[in-house]
Amino acid sequence: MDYERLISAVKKIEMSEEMRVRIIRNCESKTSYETEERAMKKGRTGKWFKNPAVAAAVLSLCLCFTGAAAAGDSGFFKDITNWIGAVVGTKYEQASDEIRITVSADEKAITVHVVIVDPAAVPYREIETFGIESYKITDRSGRVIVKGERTELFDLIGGESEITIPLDNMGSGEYKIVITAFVGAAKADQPLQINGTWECDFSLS
Amino acid sequence: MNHSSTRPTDEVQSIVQIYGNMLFRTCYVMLGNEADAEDAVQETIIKYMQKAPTFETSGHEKAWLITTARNQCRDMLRSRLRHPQISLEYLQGLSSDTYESGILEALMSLPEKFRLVLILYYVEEYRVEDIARIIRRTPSAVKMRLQKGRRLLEEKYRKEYL
Repeated sequence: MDYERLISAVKKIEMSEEMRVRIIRNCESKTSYETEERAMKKGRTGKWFKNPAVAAAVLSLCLCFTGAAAAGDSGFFKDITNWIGAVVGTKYEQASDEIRITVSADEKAITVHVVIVDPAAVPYREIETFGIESYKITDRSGRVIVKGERTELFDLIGGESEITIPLDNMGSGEYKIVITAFVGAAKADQPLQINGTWECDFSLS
Repeated sequence: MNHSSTRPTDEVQSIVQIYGNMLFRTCYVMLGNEADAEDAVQETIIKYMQKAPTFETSGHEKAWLITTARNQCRDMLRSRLRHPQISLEYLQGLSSDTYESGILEALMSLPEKFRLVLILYYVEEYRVEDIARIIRRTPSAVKMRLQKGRRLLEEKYRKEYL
């Protein structure tokens, strides 16, 4: 047996560049996410609010979107497993910073204008249609007025999409929409759930 | 070996750069398919980042990573005992040399305990005593595995590819 040839053959087993990038991205996301989570559990983030200037900045950002709470973290794929641990699908987590939203509304519908920050990045580059997977609308006091699931899917072109949510019997006033998951789809693929938190205030007159 | 809190995330890139291929090779030889090997490497690096061990030498660091990757692979192998899956497609694409692809396929057909010892000895050039520490067996057990692994590999190769 020629062991030099065995060594040469085994050394050809290398990870592809794509795999290397994927591993780095997933490991960085997972570790930074856990660090953030641990810090929050220990209440370290509470220190921000002891400084009025920082607290004001955070609150003003929250009026547009709360994705900034996890600034610097990027999204990652996570397997969906069933009760015996078998993988039955995939979802994309922690995408708050990767999608921006603005909202306009009239008495018949809300239009959520979605902008993907980097449309060439995975998973967005594969997505053809986009919708909201779960959302709620609250009034000024925080009472939930509407709780909705999977909207119609709309074309995602150049990283932008306009999602329309029909409204029924909502009076004039100040409201807030809180989106906790989007859904993206491409031909012949399972829809991909994209999780994060996006908030936006709007008013009906 | 000491433990600090957690490693900064920018260390991921350098650890994947230095040890990525070695870990992937080891996990691939143990698990037999690309996707599982990728998962195992990822889990190993996440453990490295979370536990943040500190080492006296880079040799200790490499050995720690191999031990952790091996444990990860063994957990994965246990969970798929009922559905063993060895994919040879990836191996066949690695080399146009029939001798090399034959020898790799013969290696992959051996039981996992022989595969790991053979590649740690021949490819990573560890001494028997170091392999014994990594796989937590005695040096004589490692010698036995090497001896038997070599014999099985030769038999398999002669039978299937000559």
